[in-house]
Amino acid sequence: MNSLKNFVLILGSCFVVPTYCMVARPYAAERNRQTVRYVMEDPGSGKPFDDGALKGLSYPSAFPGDRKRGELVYAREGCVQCHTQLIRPDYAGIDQFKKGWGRDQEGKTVVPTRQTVMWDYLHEDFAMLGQRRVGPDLANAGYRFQDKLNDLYLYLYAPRARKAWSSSPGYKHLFITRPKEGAGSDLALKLPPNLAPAEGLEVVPTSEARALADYVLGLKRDQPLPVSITGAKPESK
Amino acid sequence: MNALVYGWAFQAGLGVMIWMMARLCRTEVKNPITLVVAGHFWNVGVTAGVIGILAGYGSPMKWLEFPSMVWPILLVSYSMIVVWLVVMFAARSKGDVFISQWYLLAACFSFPWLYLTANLFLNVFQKTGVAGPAIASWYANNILFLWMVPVGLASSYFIIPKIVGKPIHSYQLASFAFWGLVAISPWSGAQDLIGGPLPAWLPAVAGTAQILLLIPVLAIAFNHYLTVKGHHRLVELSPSLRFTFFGSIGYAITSVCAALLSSLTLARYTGFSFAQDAVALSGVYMFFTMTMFGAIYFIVPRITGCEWISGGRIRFHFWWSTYACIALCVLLLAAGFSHGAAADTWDSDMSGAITFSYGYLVGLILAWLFIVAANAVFLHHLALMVCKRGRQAGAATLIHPAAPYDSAELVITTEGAEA
Repeated sequence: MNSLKNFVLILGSCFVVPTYCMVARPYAAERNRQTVRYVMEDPGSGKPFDDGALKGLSYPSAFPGDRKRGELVYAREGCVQCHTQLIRPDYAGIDQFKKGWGRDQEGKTVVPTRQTVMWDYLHEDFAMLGQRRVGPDLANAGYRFQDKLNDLYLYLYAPRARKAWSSSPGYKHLFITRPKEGAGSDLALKLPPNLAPAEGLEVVPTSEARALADYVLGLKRDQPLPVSITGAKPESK
Repeated sequence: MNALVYGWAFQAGLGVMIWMMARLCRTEVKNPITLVVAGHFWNVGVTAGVIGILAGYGSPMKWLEFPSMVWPILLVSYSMIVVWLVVMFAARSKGDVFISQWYLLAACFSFPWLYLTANLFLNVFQKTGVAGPAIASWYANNILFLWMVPVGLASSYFIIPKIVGKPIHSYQLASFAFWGLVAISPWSGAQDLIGGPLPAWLPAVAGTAQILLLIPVLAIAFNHYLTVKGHHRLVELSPSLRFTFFGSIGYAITSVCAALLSSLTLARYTGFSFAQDAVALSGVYMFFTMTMFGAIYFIVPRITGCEWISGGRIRFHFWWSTYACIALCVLLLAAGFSHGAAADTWDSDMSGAITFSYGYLVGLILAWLFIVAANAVFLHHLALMVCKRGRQAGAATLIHPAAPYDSAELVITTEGAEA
């Protein structure tokens, strides 16, 4: 082992095999992943088939809104440091039953939130799985902020105005304070009195904040899985 | 974290690598101007990266948060430096190869390999989907176990025998541990994402590898222990040995924590919590940084030609750092578990998790303040040494004034100065 050449050869082979298995293979699998069409087959054939309401659609459907731009803001502002976007299966955590992490926002989650799978991130360059859960999971945040755009902006502008215990930083640089024109902008934030700007001014989100809000509102990772992925038995009707 | 890894660990590591490689190959450093220039480029790259993150151009990839324009600078400057280390090794005068040299060589090759692979896939090929976070985790974990661990171990395999004054207890065990580490470590990493939307085998294999890494740890700890056995008094006296010894314990603690968090039972509570930071920080600080301090206490007197001024300052530096990094590890683990347990109830929002871990995180800031204080003292001490204002006396500075019966061992501690 005293020769440099042998050392490098053995070291190289120690590195190459795991790199192929742990990096290159998963990467190739992601590159080859395609959207899947829901299949509508005759129940008589006995083959599994998807819900009729999904006819003609494919999974995962395209992400609505200004997604790419919002995703970029999400990445640059470092949201992944504290927010995850994944629902773990029941063997690895309670995520599927967590209140407010799925479609239902009130009461006990009767139908478990679907665990996230590889296809859910198909349209993303880098899946924002997140590093820590300092804040709540955002896999299905779209449901949480549905019709509550002002709440979402308030969370971004001054998190502790919404939840006193929040440890999130405020993202005031995504908003501008400007003189009101006429009755004011539709998008102007409805702020609590202690944060409200001086008379005649208003706080409005910048285009970056709007893109980010679009992105968050589009986060609904619970589209039904096609049976061609789950391999489920056909339901008897 | 990025600033700590690329702004401290790599500079310290490279400095120790260069000195130690030259020493062990018994040659002069080749091409010092290239090394210095490349080092400056590295610093420029790190500065640009940190400013980039603060200016809002960061990326979401773990330990690769620098803007993507930075990575070629770092890769090229690192390669420019290590190429000369490899040349030094190839041109060494014939003789035995020390185990430290293997570790140094492994570190020379591992960083370019890891950094190039991770950046090629994440920044050049792109469209990684869910493989992206897995690749980033693989990279971050292996920077710890395949770069910092080899550099740290090269230093401890050098300093422990040097100060104790006898060879490593078992050469076979050392070589077994080396190949174990190098062969197993590249498989680990993705266990951070247990339960994530990945093929289930990926975190499973990675977790298994992380647990198997305990075997080389055991071999290394056993070897170090047997080498020092009978000379424990020196751990108390010699600054380099004391820091190195503590660093080795830190290595064992880091590995045990990492293995524990890789098990499915615990990952349920610790996944995506502060407990994972406990592993990263105890690896970077308790193990790597403390070992590097040990190496610096050994190397600087030999370069400047004067001895450390005061044992009291070294004692202060050691105890405040030790206290702080134990606190860091314990507080982050406690915060992680309380955070995870609070998040594991179905009907609570995150308020429980945040308020439960709040106290620990305040404690964490205190621990960082301890580190700031310890390092301020160290920096002042080091600055005096670099200005050649150290003691010109012949005997090495010890942490405590030596008692008369230590004089026999004192000869051994100063022996390195002449070699």
